[in-house]
Amino acid sequence: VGYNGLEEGDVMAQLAEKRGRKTLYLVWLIPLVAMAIAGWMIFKYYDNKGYDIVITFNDAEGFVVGKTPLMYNGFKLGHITNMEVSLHDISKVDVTITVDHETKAVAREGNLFLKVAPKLSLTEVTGLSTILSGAYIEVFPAHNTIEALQQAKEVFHFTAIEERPVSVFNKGLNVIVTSDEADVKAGAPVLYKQFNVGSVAEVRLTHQGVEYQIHLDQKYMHLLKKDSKFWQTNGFEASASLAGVDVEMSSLATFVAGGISFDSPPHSPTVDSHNQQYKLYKNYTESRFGQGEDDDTVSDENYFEQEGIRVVLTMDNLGAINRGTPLYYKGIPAGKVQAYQLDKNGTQVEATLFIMKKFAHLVNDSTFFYDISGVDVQAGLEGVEIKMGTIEAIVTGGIAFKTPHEGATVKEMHTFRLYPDEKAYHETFVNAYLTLQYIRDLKVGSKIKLDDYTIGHIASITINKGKIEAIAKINTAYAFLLNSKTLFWRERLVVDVDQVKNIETLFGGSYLAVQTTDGGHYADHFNVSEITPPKTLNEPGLRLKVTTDRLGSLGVDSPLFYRQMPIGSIESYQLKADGTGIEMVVYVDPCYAYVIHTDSKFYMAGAIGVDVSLFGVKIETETITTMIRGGINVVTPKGDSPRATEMEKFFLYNDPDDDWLEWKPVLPGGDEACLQRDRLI
Amino acid sequence: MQWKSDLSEGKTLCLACEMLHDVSQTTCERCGATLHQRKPHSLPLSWAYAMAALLFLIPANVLPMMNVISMGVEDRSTILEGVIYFLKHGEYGLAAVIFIASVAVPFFKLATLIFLLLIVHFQLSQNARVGLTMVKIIHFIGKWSMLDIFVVALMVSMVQFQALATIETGLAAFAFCAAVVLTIMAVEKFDPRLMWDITDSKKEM
Repeated sequence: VGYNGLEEGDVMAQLAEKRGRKTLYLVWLIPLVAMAIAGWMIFKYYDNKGYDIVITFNDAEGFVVGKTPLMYNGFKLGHITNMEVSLHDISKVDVTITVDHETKAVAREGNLFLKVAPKLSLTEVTGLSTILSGAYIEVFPAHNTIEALQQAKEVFHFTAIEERPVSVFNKGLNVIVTSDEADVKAGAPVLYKQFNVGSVAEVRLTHQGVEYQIHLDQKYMHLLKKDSKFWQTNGFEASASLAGVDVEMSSLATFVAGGISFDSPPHSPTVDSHNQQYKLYKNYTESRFGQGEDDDTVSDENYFEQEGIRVVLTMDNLGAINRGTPLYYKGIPAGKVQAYQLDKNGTQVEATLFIMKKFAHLVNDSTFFYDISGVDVQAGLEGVEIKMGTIEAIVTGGIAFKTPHEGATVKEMHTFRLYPDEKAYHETFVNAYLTLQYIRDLKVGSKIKLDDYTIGHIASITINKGKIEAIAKINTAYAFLLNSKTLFWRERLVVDVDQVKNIETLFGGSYLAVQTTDGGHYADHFNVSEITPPKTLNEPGLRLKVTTDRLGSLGVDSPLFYRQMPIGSIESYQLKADGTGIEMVVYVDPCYAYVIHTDSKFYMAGAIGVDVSLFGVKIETETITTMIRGGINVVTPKGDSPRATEMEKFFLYNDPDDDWLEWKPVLPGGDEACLQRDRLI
Repeated sequence: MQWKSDLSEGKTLCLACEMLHDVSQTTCERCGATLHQRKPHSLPLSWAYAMAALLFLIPANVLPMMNVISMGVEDRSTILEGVIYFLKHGEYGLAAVIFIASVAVPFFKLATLIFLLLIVHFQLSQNARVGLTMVKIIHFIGKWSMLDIFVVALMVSMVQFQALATIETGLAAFAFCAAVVLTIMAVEKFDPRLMWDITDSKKEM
């Protein structure tokens, strides 16, 4: 067994040897594979390691070799692998950055490199993350597409920039704004309608002054027009007005670093080239009107917003009109007051009114403008009418306009008159000079009424040597009132048992009433009577002289009754010159004049007839009114006597004879048409 | 023949249980292990593993071992950079430990092995005695050759503060692992008895 075993073993060994030789070759695959893997690892590492660029920095503070990264938008693109003092300028440092191999487009012409270190300034706090992580280098690519970057020329040496570029990829628009003083700091916001649309990139000193490089964000580029105006904004602006104290505060950034605002006329061409030059105005007003203008000249912010025309309004008094006062057309805002100023003589105020384009065609030379500021209270017997515009119009004033008819189109800056109210336009006035006994509650603006219709107002009241003189403005249409026969009197509130008269004076104060008749000559000076003249004054009709012993409860306007129907009234009364009685002028409506004959009898109405008899007490009365206010009855016995003539004299009896009441004459001469006048149906 | 050896006496030693067999036996009577007078293909396999280990040592030392990402900033360091870092900061002990464990030991071990292989290969019998001492040494220090990997593994698992600091293993760690494992395998495959064989054969000649 042993021998065989040995032989067998030899054979086995030989077989193993053969197999072994085969595997022996395979053994060398191990180092080959190892070489492949190790080689691949090293290759991959160095391939990934990327390439070197050199950036020259003014200082390398905070940079750590092997650590400080090159970042783009938070991505690490590489890191500093070497730093050395620049060969060309020993004040600078050449920093070698190994850029990751995936990032191909870093070494391209136009790319900007910035050292990002923590920065705390008034307008910005940046690079906070670098406090813990240390400074880093940020790259700003020159183009915003990989393709464009790839195509750019390869450059391996750069000089770092000092300030953060406003634009990445050069988006947006750079504009140059020149100023005299550098009140605005770099980094300050650029505002369009208080909206941050860009920032001040750089402040440069030039031999003419200061130059601001302004960067506008791409999405706001279109806001800049060729004729845009720039002005300086301060963070804080306070103005006091009726509406209160208005404190405007812009962003804190503007407050601290200042800011630049601009606005643009709508139809100016847009700007798309860089470095367009603009002038920076000190403030908004200056930007509108240039320098050196009076500060009273203020303008409206919406000047550029819309197209439209501008007209000039002249007025005596600015009143509630102010910059920004709205213009309404049928209640719709149609424009605004842009500016106001005194005219050359200083007697009138001129306001520049802007009218929006869509309303511009509504304005022609027949247009009139009137003030709708404040609250207009019209109080009358029918109630109180309060006219008020919008709250805005009350507070800031308001202007409305109407165009009564077609007219010629007006040109820019056409001058119009601003009327105090709508009525004022329709009215031109003639002056009447009135002398009053008392002022009482009469005041400037008190109305002058003809038959309850307002025809004018008191324009001024002066006390001159104890005389009260008033100037009444009377509508030109009523110029005929300037007549020697015209009477002016004061109407006051009358509260009586049977009537409440002139209740509107409760609100508006008393007013002056006027009455006139034909036949006088021109006059413009009048005395104002404190006594209300009879209603029938100057009315056509029959006037009779009636004398009586005692006036009793009679007075002016006491009625004259025929069969208890009023046919006239007492127009006036006076004591006879000899003192024997009272002489009254009684007016009879012409319609009823035919009932008065020469033998007509007049007696007092209003007496209470008390007839005491066996059957009781019989009380006869006239109407309640006559009972209190008195009145005159007239009776006519027969129609055969002649008709009473003008100023026919009669006697007024206290009581009628019993038979007077029985008289029922048939009287000819009644005019049916006239008599029907008082009928309702 | 200077000494009696298993070859001269026609004996085979079971390497598993150290029982002596006759050369004709292919399996151990006691433990059943396959018997070889010498480790089969010891020299070429050892050479192959050693070469592979040597190749892996290159990336292991050239590539970064750890990526320390602190505050978003990545800091890669190779083994030697780590050593230099500690030296610069005066941590000589730490630098020594890392250097010995990660650089000196693996290189020394591999170099020694290669030296041994060369002795056998070129039959430098006069160095055989030195080689024996070296075999003892590499067996002793072999236990510590993975120290660096343990350090990295420990750091990676412990320092995971995400945003603040994260440590990742670098490519070198894998290469280092491979190098260490291959070195161990190479040492394992090397049969020191080959050295006695050459001394004997030299003497015979």
